[in-house]
Amino acid sequence: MSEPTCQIVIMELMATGDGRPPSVPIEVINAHLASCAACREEARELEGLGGLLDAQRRQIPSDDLWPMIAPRLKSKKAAAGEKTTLYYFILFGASLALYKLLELIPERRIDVAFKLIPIIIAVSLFAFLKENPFKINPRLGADTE
Amino acid sequence: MNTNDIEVQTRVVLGQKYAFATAALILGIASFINFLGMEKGVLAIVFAWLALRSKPAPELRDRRVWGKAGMILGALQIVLIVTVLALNFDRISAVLDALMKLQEGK
Repeated sequence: MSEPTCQIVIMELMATGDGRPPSVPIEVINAHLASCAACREEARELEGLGGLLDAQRRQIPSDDLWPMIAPRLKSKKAAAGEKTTLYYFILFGASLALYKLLELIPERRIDVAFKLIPIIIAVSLFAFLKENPFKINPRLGADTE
Repeated sequence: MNTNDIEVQTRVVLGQKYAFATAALILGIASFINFLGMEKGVLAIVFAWLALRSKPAPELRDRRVWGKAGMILGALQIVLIVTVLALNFDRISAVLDALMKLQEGK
């Protein structure tokens, strides 16, 4: 086989660097490199460039945004729930205030059943909110964290 | 203090704050109720029972005496009121009758 030119040797080095099979026997290329300083220099530069390119890693996009979205959704939901509950409690407070005003009317007859009204209102509120203030809830606050 | 300790501390503090929030609401409601002051005694017994019972775990260790004292004081107050009412039933009935007559006479 005839001596390959510098251009062919460089092309072969680039091809083998890309992982393609050489079309010129490797011994012939090595023999050329041993005798040609310019090609040796070129080969060194190619090797350096190849190493630099190999060091690069493709950025893998993180599509899983749920861990960031979920807590924000939960906190928004909790805030909306708190606001609704606040309206119920305002209504509840107004009912109790009205009861107190009625209790203060001097002409009113003394009636034991009348005294049960605030308890009935409070029980109704907790039943409506589906809450039991006298029950220890181990999950309380776990959803909003 | 490591992360686990901070998490435990956060949960303990939150637990106490939830208890205070509940107590605030219940006492606020109780302030509108008047059963000769016995409603406060009943609440003391209920809160103490909730604090002292073994379920759900874990059982209360610190301030157990506080719970017991609250329960005893609440029960004592109820017993005292019922006893005073029972012992003075005739007099209280007379006072109530007098009040009713006074009201009707207006």
